[in-house]
Formats: sequence, structure tokens, C-alpha cells
Amino acid sequence: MGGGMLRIARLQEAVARGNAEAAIDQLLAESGGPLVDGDGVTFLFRDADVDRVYLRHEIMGLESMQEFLRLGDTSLFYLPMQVPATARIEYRLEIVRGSAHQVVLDPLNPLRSDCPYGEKSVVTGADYRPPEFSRERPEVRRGKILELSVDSRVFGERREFLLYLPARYRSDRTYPLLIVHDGPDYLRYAALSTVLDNLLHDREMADVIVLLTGSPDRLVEYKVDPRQGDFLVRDLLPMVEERWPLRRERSARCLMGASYGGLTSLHTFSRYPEYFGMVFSQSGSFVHADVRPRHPTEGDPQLLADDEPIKQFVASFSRWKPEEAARLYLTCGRFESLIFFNRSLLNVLQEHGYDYAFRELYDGHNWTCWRDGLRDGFRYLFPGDVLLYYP
Amino acid sequence: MNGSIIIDGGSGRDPGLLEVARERILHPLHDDPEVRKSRKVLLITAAWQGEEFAEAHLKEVIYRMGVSPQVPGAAAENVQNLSVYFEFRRFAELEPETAALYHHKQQDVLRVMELYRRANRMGLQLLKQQLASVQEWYPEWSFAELLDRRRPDSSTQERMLRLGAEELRAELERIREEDEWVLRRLDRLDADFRERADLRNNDNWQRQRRLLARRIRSAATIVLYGGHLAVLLNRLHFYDLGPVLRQALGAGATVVARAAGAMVLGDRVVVYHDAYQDRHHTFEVLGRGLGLLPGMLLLPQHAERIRKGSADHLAFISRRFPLGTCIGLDEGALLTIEGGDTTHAISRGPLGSAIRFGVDGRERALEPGEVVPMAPAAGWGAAC
Repeated sequence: MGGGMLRIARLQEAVARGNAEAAIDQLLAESGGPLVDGDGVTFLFRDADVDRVYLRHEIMGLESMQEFLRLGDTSLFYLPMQVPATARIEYRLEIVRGSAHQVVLDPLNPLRSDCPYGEKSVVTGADYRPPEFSRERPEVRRGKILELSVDSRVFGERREFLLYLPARYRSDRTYPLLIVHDGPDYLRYAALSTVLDNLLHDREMADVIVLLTGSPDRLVEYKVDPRQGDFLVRDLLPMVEERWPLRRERSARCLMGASYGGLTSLHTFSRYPEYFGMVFSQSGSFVHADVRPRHPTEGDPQLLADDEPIKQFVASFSRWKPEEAARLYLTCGRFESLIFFNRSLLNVLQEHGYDYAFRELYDGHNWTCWRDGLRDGFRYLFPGDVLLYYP
Repeated sequence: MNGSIIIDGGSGRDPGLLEVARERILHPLHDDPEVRKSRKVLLITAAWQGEEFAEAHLKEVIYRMGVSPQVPGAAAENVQNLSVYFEFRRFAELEPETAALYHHKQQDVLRVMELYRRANRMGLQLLKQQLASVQEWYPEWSFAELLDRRRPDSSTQERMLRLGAEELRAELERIREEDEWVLRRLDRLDADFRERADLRNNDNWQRQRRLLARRIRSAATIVLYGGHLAVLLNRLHFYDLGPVLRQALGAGATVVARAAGAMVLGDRVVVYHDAYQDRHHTFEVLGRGLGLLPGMLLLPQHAERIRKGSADHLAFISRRFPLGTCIGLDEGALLTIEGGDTTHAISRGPLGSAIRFGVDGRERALEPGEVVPMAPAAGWGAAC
């Protein structure tokens, strides 16, 4: 029995002694919630007027609603869960009073995640630590971020983007190019510029110029929409290559993104292999089905219509063997359903001779998971000269 | 009188490296009375690459120590940068064809290194797997004990141990052969380049080398800072400055070095980082050093680069390279080689700042004043 459950057992003894509420007061004052130990996590919630409490999470393989247990007839609800020591879980609580349901953040847990889809509570396993490489360090010189825009012939409108220049940038050098989809979100939610600053300072990755692009309608434009790749190749690349010293070979250009951003990265790579030789995909939405209805109207029409273009792309990508070498790095959270699709893509990469690596993290489909996977991916795709650097 | 080498365990571009040599800077022991009188200090900051001349703060400290900015009675700089990174760039502008040949040679070096790296990784993996198998059968035996095992067989278990140890020795030998192989290939590439470029008869190269050699020979103290190891090593080798530095030491100059600046002084230069890229234990031969520290392998910044806690891993490191002594340096470490005697170094830093990696896989902290043996060598006085 882990430390969390031991404490619950002691509370049960207090219930038997009749002084449970005082013992609960003491426990929450000392530890707050949830309780974390080497065996996992015990979620806590306290409110005497609540009928039921559920844990709402997105851990693939578990029922998405886990009901808390009530400690006797006290005000405390608890839910023990075995969790890997390096895991990180985002969650909310659903509170039921009579027929009223309310979704709330965990009031006992001050730890929150910030993401475009709204705040969530966060709990981590006993050994999880936010990575050092994402922490700002005073001695590290920062890269410069330029705000730019381009008149897009492809989209027929002006599109804004950002360009990150490394701190050691020199106009008489040439640099590889990393194109990041959802770039502003990567900056805001995944500390991308800090990660780049640190890894470049420590020579863990080679100097790169990073183009951070966004989309006003990513659910359309990133979903295997050919315009997105056309936009990169026809509008953005010519402009940045004219103005900044970028290496022109395909092996020095990398596409990157998370979720649909990973999908569109792979999609653009497959459409323009002569332009791009590297892909960094995080939790790529590579939904596929080896057996599927011939017409989208069979099955759930809306669902099928939504996913069908992706399935078709993944199927065609699986058949396509690139003529030139390509280097791919993939990450995915073990708690998200996309883990199956990402894993199954590995066979394809192996068979078709890609130079690739894949990392799984004990986390879900969120920006922190993507942040935590950045270092290994960058080191793999843009290896620095740390081995040669002794300052 | 022969010169001295002072190795500092610190890192960075701070003036701490100058402070450890303050006494020698102010009271040089150079044979040439003019050089001795000038107290000239030569900075080598080529490892800072494009920031080679970002050394104003160092010059300031040297002036404050009491060293005159100009050579007494002359207009020449008395605290000077060797400027070898800058000179190389100028050479590339003056001699684009030779520079292109050099660039091609360096591309070939990268390819040779790629082949070596792959062989090295496979060799290391195989050795680890073989060791794991032997230790699964005989868990009480360490790598070092297995390698050193020489007892005759007296049982079937003894025989199996002998066979396992032979296998491990053979694997280690293969890795060492790869190290030798890559050095020979690099030598050949360099010799081919020099022959094709006819470097020795190139006027610009000769002129620059004379200039650089003059700067070195006129210095009482030569200070090498760390940074990009390969850049520093390549620039010094390009102008064949190893023999010039050797001659300067032979004439009584003091060389003060840290980090990459110290690493280039050895017989061979080894790079290392246990968490590099794929987290495989990476130790690689980068090339030949300047040969001023015979038989000694210096491992600066070892605490952050070398995975500790495995005696087998450390035993492997200390046995892999055919060098007498393997020393890890941390902040505060200070090693000196005095009076041209390259048979030993003396540790002058506090206890624990320098570590000796033993062939048994143990780390031993050097005591202040402890003598560290080095391989006997011909000395530094040979003419270049």
C-alpha cells in the first residue's frame, strides 16, 4: 500500500473513532491534494453536500469518468489511482448535486495547466520534474523574434508569421530552417523560445532559424489541406530564403507541429519531398483505418466525413516510398488515443527506410507533453556540437 | 631552464585562468632576458570562433596586474591575441583555391569520423552486451577484475571465466584498433591535403606562420582558453604550431590552459559526453593533440559529462586509451608541470578538485601536492 492509501487507511480508523473530520482537516492542511507517492496518486475532494464526484480525464484505456469513493459518511471523497512515477495527468472534476452536474478544477490542487482549450488541474507522479531545458536561465543569451507578414497568393490574404533568429546569428553564416506550425502556441504554451535559447546555448542543438507560422482556421487548413503546403513552399519559403541566409538543401529544412500540426507537417513533406528532408511530429493526428466504408455516408456520416481525408492520406503515405533519405522524429503521449496510430506508423517508417526515432511520454494530448519532448527531438534532428565544445 | 604548463579546471571566459598564473605572469622564467623583461602575455582564444577578439576584459586584468600594454621600448603589443582564427579566415580570402581544398579535406574528415563513430558505437554496444552476459553468469566479477584475471584454470568455472575475459579483452582491443585506425586515416587526409595544396611553399601560409610563430616565441606566458575544441585544434594544426609551442616551452615560456585549451595539449584529443544525442556513452578520438602532455588524458568538466556510479564504465574509460594517466578536472583543480619535467604533474588544487580515474574503475581524489606520473618524453626543447 502506498503512502496515499496509508493515509486514507488512517482516516478510516479516525472514522471508527468518531473524529474523522478533524483528521481530514489535518490531512488537507498538511498535504493538500492529491496525495502522491511512489505507487501513484490519490485524488481528494471535500464537500459534505455533494452526492458524487467523478474524475474527468483523457487517459486512453480508462473510463473517461472515474467515480470517487466516499470515506464513510464524512465530507471526504477519494480516488486512488496507480500512476507511473514519471507521469503527468491533466484533469477536471465533475461534481453531482442531485440532478445538477458541474465541472470544476480541483479546489485542493493549486497546480494548473494553461492551454488553448481551457485550464485544467495537473497532477504528476513522484518522479516527474519539469525539464530544466524549459526554464529561463539568466546567463543564456536570447534569440531574437521578428514579427513579419507575407501576402499569400495561396490563401489570398496577408498572413502574419514570426521568425526566431538564434543569439549567435551572423549574416555571413547559413542556417537550417525549422518551420513550426501553431508557432505562436508553441511559444506561449510550450516555452519554445526558451527551449531553443537553452539548447543552443549549451550546444545541444545546432543553430537554426525558426519560422513560426499559425493559421486562422487550423482545423481546416492543417487537415491535409494542400493549400497549407503550397503556402509554405510558394509564399513563405521564397520570401525568407531571399532575406535570410538559409541553407537551400532539403536535408536542412524541417517541418514541425503537434496534433493536426504534426499531420500537416507529414502531409506537406509527402507532397514536397524535394523541399523537405525532416519532420518533427508531436502527437500527430495520423488517424487511419485499414478497413473502412467506401462511402462516407456509411457509419456516422459526420465523423466519417471529418476523418476520411486523413485516413486516405495516411493510407497513401503508408504506400509511398520516398526516393531520397528523410529523418523523422515523433513523440506521443501514452495516455492519448493517438498513441496507437503513431505506433502503427513506425512499421511504415521502418519498411520504407526512414531514419527515424519515436519517444513516448507518460502524458496526454497537451502542450506540456509536447514541450517535454522538444529536447530529444531537436537533438536528434539538429545535433549540436556539445561533444566538441568545452568552454 | 625549461618552461611550465599550468592546467586550470575552471570553465568559461573569466579572468580566473589568469589569476592562477599571476605569479608566473609577473615573474616569468623565460630564458630570453628580453622576453623575461617584457612579461609579454599571448592569449589564444580561437576556440571562441567569431568572438575571438572579445578578450578586452582579459587584457584589462593583465594590465592591472602590472604588465605593460606595450613592449618596453617598442610600439609592439605586449598583451596580444594570437589571432589564429582571424588569420585562418584571412588565408581563406587570400587563397580561395587552397581554402576550397581544405574545405574538401574537412568534408572527408567528417565522413571518416562518421564511419568511425558508427564502428565505435557498435563496438561499445557489443562490449557492453558481452560484459552483461559474463556478469550474468558471474555477477561478482567487475570488468576490471575480468580483464586483469590471469590465474590458471582450476575448475570449469575458472575456465569459463578465462574465456569470458578473453572475449572482453578482444572486444576492447578492437575498439582500441578503431581508435588507431581513425588517427591514421586523419593523418593521411591531412598529409594528402598538404601535398596537394603545397602548403609549405605557399607564400601566404609561410608569411602567416612566421607571424604566428613570432608571436608565440616572443611571449613569456601563453594562455589558452576553452570553447570549440575542434576549431582550436584545427587552426593550430593548420599552421603546424605544435612544434612552435614546444619550442617556446623549451625556451622557458609558461603555458596556461583550461577546458578545450588544455585538451589540445595532450598526445591525442578525446571527446566525451555520456548523454550525447542518443544517450549512448560517447567517447571518441578527435585527433592528435600538440603532444605537450605526454601520456596524460585530461577530462575537463567531467562531472557534467561522464556518468558516474558505474565502476565498469570508468574502468573502460581509463583503459581504452594507451595513455599513462587519466585525470578528471573540476572547478578549482590545478595541475602544474614544472621546469620542463614531463615525467610527472603536481596537483595543486584543493582535495577532490581533480580526480584520477583508476584502471580498477575507481575514482580517487588527488591530494594537494600529490605527484601524478606521466609518460617520459623527449622534452620540449626540440627545434621546430
